[in-house]
Amino acid sequence: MSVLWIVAAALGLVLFLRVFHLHNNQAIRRDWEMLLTPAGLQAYRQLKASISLDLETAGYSYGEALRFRDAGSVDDAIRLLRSGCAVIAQAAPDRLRLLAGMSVYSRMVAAMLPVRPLPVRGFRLPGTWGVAGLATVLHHVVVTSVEQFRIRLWALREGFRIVPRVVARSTDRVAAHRTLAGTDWERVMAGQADFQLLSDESLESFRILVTALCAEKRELVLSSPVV
Amino acid sequence: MLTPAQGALALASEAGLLAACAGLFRRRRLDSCWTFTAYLCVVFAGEALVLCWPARFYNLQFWVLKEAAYDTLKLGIALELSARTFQAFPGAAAFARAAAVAVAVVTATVLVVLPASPGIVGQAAQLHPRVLSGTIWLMASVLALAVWFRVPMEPLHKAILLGFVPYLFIFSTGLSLLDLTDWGFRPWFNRLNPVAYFAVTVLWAHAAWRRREAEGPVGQALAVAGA
Repeated sequence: MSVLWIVAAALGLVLFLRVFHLHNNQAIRRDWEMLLTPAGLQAYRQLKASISLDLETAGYSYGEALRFRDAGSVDDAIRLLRSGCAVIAQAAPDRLRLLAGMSVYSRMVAAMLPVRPLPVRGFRLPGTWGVAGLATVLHHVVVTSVEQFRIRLWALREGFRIVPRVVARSTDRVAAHRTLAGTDWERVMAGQADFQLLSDESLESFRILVTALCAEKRELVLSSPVV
Repeated sequence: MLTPAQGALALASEAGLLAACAGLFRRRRLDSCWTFTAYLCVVFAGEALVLCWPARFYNLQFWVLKEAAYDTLKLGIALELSARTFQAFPGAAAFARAAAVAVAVVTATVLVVLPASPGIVGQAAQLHPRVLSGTIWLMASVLALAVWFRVPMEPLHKAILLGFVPYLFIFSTGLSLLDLTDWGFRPWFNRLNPVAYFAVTVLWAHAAWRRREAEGPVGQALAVAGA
């Protein structure tokens, strides 16, 4: 029986040493202060500008691709489709990282304003539509707004995994068959629209999170007798 | 009887405890963790009795009595650190309470349900490691939740945990080995344990005397809210 307590104590020690290594006070305080000060607002503006740039670039590529397709220029249309696809492929990992970071920060807040579910009808790809639908169902099942927010983040992450895959596959098929119409074109355009919607909703999620963190800060300051 | 080496190490540990208390007083940190301050005083008094009147107090009965008092205070320290760390974070505090209750229930169940040898020897070598394992897990859970929720901790609180958890592992393993070897491990235990405890008192004294780091507005608010 004594061996059991040695093992239990050793496991506790291993857990402790592991988390002790991970707990960095300076980094945590820096995160808090960055998000809870005007730097947070600045971060929101920078993110908005970055997302807008990606969306404008992708939108321009796909708009021009449609224009060349209508004019009958297959090579130019495919070249522009590939360009739009590359923008989405490059931006998606950044969005995933952003959403993963937001998921971590969401643990810092105790409460949030009510979060609205993702607009299911706005999604056009079956995959993103299905994920958004599932997230909407779960949204009504869970109790707290923080849990609803995390479900929202999960659905957005899944969306950003689905869209680049579908768009790349459909673009390849359009290029292989050199078609000027059909379901692959529709999928690419649907993917681009979904990418835009997912990006807009990510930005909205970021705004909700920053607002919640600012509210948390106000509570902390109010609870402090010296500030 | 205490050997000269044991006596010297016990004296050194007493000096370490005294230095830690003086540091807490000088840096106005006595209220940083009240149970820790109480623990330092009680351990100092308990070990002073053994050092000054070994004929009367260097025996197993008194050892079990004082260790029971120390264990109670150690559990108190873990609970107070948990309460102070998550005081400003209601969401995280709820998880911390749940973790504390879970550890307490498991420890109490193990103490009551699993058999132990009757008498003072059974208490010393069999029941004691169970309580210490529970304390280790409770302390590890505080830091694990602080990492998970990205909650900063006061450096002194981290130092308290850093001192306790490895030491409690050594102490608890030593007691289990006493039971396994039918007290044959006792000479080694009597050498190893005081050295480990002396190292811990040096760590605490260093942490107690260390000046507070300059903190931003959020750091100050968190520190005051959790103080």
